[in-house]
Amino acid sequence: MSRRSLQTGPTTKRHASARRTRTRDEDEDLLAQADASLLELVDHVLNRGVMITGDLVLGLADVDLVYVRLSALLCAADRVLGPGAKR
Amino acid sequence: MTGLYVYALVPASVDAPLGTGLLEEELRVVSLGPIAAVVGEVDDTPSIAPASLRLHDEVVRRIARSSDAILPFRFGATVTSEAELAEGLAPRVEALATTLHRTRGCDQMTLRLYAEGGAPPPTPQTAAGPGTRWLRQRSAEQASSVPELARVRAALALCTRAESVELHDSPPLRASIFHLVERARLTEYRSQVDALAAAIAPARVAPTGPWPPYAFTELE
Repeated sequence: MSRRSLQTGPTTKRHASARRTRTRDEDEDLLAQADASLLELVDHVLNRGVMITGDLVLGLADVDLVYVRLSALLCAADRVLGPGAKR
Repeated sequence: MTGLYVYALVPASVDAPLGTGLLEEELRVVSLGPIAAVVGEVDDTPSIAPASLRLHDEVVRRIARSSDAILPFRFGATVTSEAELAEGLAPRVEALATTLHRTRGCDQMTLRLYAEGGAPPPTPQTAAGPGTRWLRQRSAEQASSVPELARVRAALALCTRAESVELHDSPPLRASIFHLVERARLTEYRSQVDALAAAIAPARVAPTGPWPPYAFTELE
């Protein structure tokens, strides 16, 4: 099975002549939008959605596999882990 | 590790080609009676990275386009076998089918409500356990009211099928409001949100979506 690369990298081509220099405010806006977009994605994909009852394996970043045994995981993470773990 | 990465629950009738998953594995459907799970066989567990989260979301969205109802799984849900998946879900299949049915023809819209001032009440001092303290805190927050929240909810109630509200104690973010909206009414919904701007100023709402119904997977 081939594995899709999950890494992002810089683009290889640049078109400097066609680019307009952005202002600092524009750069900050772009960064803010990118962060907001990623935060929204993280909140939806990691914080919500169905989890299953029984034995569940969660792969968490570079941390060793976390093996979870819970009787009722069909709930939000804050109910499982407590509100402190969510924010 | 070889296992099944679980992407979503869909109606049992879904049989369209679903393409590939997060690690380019072929997706397949595992029947669970009235519902089915869309899974992919993986020999590794994807790490949490922006790109992998986006891919997970892309796969869930693709599945959603092939199905009129969907309950997305949270990123990283992996089981060792179909039998384990069936065993884990068996006690709740009927409830899951009901919850799944509620999402038919709908997308999720998310609103973040920002408002200055009105700091949340202090955490109640009590000898109760952390769970009870948290519930009491949530209750106190509800009671303290965010007036703009009531206006937002009232303005959108007629064009949404379901709603879920989460209060936050990190001003200016005061609340997240999740709406299940029929796809045919998304334009109407957006118009209503736009019209809210003047009504709740200086507070504001920031909408995102449509999303698969990530926030509507709790059992009814």
